[in-house]
Amino acid sequence: MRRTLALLISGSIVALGVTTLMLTGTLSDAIRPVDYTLRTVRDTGAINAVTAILFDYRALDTLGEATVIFAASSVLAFLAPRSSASMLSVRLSMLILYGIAFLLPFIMVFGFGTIVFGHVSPGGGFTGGVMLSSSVVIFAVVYSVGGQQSYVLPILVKKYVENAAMFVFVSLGFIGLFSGGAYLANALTGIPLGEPGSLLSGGLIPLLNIATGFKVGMGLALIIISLFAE
Amino acid sequence: MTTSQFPVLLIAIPLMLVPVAFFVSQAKLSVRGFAIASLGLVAMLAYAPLVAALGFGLVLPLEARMGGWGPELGIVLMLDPLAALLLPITNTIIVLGAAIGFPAGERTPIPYFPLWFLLAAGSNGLIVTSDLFNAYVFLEIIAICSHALVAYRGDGYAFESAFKYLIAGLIGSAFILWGIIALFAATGALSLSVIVDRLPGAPPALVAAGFSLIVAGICVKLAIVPFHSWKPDGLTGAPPSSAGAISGVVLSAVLVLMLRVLVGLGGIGGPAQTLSAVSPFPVILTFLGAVSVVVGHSMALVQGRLTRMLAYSSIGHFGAMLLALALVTPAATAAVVFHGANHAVLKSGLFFLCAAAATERGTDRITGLSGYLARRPLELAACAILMLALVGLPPTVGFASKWAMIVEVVRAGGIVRALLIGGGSVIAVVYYLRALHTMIWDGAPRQLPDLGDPRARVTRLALVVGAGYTLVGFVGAGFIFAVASSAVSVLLGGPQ
Amino acid sequence: MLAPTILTGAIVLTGCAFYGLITHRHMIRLVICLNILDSAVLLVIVLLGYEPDAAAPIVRQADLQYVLGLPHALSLTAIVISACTTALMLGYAVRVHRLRGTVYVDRLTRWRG
Repeated sequence: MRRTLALLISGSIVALGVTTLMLTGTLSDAIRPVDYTLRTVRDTGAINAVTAILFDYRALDTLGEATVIFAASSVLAFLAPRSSASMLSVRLSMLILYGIAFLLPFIMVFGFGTIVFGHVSPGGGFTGGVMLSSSVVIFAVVYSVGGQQSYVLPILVKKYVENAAMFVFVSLGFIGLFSGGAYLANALTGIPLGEPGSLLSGGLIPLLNIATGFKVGMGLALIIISLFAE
Repeated sequence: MTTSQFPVLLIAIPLMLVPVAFFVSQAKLSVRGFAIASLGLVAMLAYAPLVAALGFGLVLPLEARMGGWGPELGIVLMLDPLAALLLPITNTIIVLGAAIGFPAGERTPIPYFPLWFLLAAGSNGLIVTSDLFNAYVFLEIIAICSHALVAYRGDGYAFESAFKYLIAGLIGSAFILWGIIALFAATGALSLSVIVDRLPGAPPALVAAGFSLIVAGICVKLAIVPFHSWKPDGLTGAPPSSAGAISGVVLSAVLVLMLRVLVGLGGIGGPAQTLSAVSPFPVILTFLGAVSVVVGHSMALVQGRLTRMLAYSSIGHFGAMLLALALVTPAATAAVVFHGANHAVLKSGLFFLCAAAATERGTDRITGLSGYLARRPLELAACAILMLALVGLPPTVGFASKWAMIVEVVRAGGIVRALLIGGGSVIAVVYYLRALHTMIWDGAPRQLPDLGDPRARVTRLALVVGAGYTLVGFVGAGFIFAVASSAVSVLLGGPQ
Repeated sequence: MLAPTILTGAIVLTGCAFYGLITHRHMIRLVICLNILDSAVLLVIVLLGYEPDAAAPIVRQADLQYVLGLPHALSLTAIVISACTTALMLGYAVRVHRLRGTVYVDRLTRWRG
């Protein structure tokens, strides 16, 4: 009964969708979205168009999604029980322990690099933040064997970093409000945009990148470690 | 800063308060006093545009361009009269709900006040934004906060409710995201005003698909009948104060999105955009609304728990609003705005009363609350007034808005719809009277607890505010309706 | 030719997700179905910015053709949100399982009256 109903509903969804597709044809006659690529350099000083959109043109969306991560991480951090610590019951071999110890600095440096160079190369606060969080998580997985709760960072430190990053992000927006006339403004604030392609360019974009990177990194690490602890 | 940037304060200040509250708590200071005070400040800010527009000649809409980019490149926040009318209501409900639901003593499994800050930021953002994708982001913030507020009591039932609520909310969001992307593919824009401008050149099938997906997603979020089953379950395990905030704040914010989309794309108020003329969507909305009215009110009749009864009654109310919206006339839409604002106040007032009662008795079963109101004249009066208003009887603001809705519906030729809305009220009389009767007369009146608990005082304050609005609003109904009408006319692009 | 195929695929994925959402009562499976639903939308978003033989939108030369940046930014936002909500739902599911002893939604409370 339920299967028949489900088949009917999903079948009609597919049928309606395909009909719309056939009626629309190729999207060639649809109106093309505005192309940010060519104006990015002039407007923002960043040469990575995706980063420029995320942190300048549509920065409020980014603030919103960073808030989503923040909310999820704080809820999950409270949900997780404090006691359970060990994730694996097996002892890892020496090779893994030392191999990870060798690799971790590189992962973290790569993550930081992705954040800092987010406006001149592929990357940005989100991708770099995910790399940072993965290094934290790897550390927790590998070195918290055997019941000792030796996470790389205590939860409280992560929460401090996350909250401070959120504070910085919102405050950076207020700079634009008070000196440029618009919240989260970049070029309008009079901050020099720098020479496109160099590290010190893009006005506020690198700073927002760094704030987002720390927030995402700590937030995701909190989420994943809390889920482990569950 | 200029005045036009005001709307962003309503989003940025609550967001800023989250880390500040964390640092306050780490400094071993009282988070509670700080949080309530700052939420109160945000609520006062939310009153500012309405007061300034009515008393000091501030011209709405305030248009805040984020980062200085226009609607084609960036995000534009638009504080129009519709937002100015609803923002004070939602923010007042938030501060009262946060004060009433505060879990005294026990350790909560979830951070309590940051969630209310984020709820304030998300709902204010959804009310003022004019960008569809930005609205989606705010919807998700609201979803996460509100279901966490459902779960904060931390027992199995609460988590069960939260899970059901979250699944339903995310299905609704997925519909909305699909619709937004379809509109983006058709018109290449995300800002609602730009989309409306570009409609004539866009592929009609894709526009219709995007529009109906967004409306379907909003119907899931508003718990219109085929998608309603999450709501009573989601609110039953919740603390009643959170349920009040969800009914008042979340549903109002989603209703604003619904109105914006319907006015922009659905062709309310004129033949300019003729989506209503070529597609069967008014018929479908009428059908859904009619079923919601019938199912909502009759299911409320058989509920034994106060929260579930109120939740089902909300379904009936939103069904009635959908019936009026489906007429696609500006006057009926104005009546819906009026009724939506009233419903938010009245329903959350009753939920707050329910929160106080459930805290004292440990249950929200109507039989378990017998005699609760017997020796509490203030609560009794407020409860009676709020229930009268929800039924739609004079001398209350609920009567005024329901009357306005019925008059506009009849004027537009929908006799059957008017009968349905009236019939819903008749059923509502039965279940509210039964609940009131039980809560006054049945059972022996017990000893009254002392009022040392500050939450009880806040509840009384909330009830006084709600009942006061109900009575004063009846006197000033014409005025509020005029504000709602001007809100709709500005939404339609006309003069204020 | 590529675009209609992928779009049809996304629509079929949506259908699959709804089939799963209606038939399954296992909480983890519901979460997976929601993930499939999100992936379908993401597929469409990324496709909207795609152009054959265009470069990634990092503007080093002005005369090159680049893919559109906006859909990528949107999809990044949608991915992050979807990941967070998935994590939250899993957290709740584990909690419900621990406190109520079942992972099936229909074996949980049937609140009646």
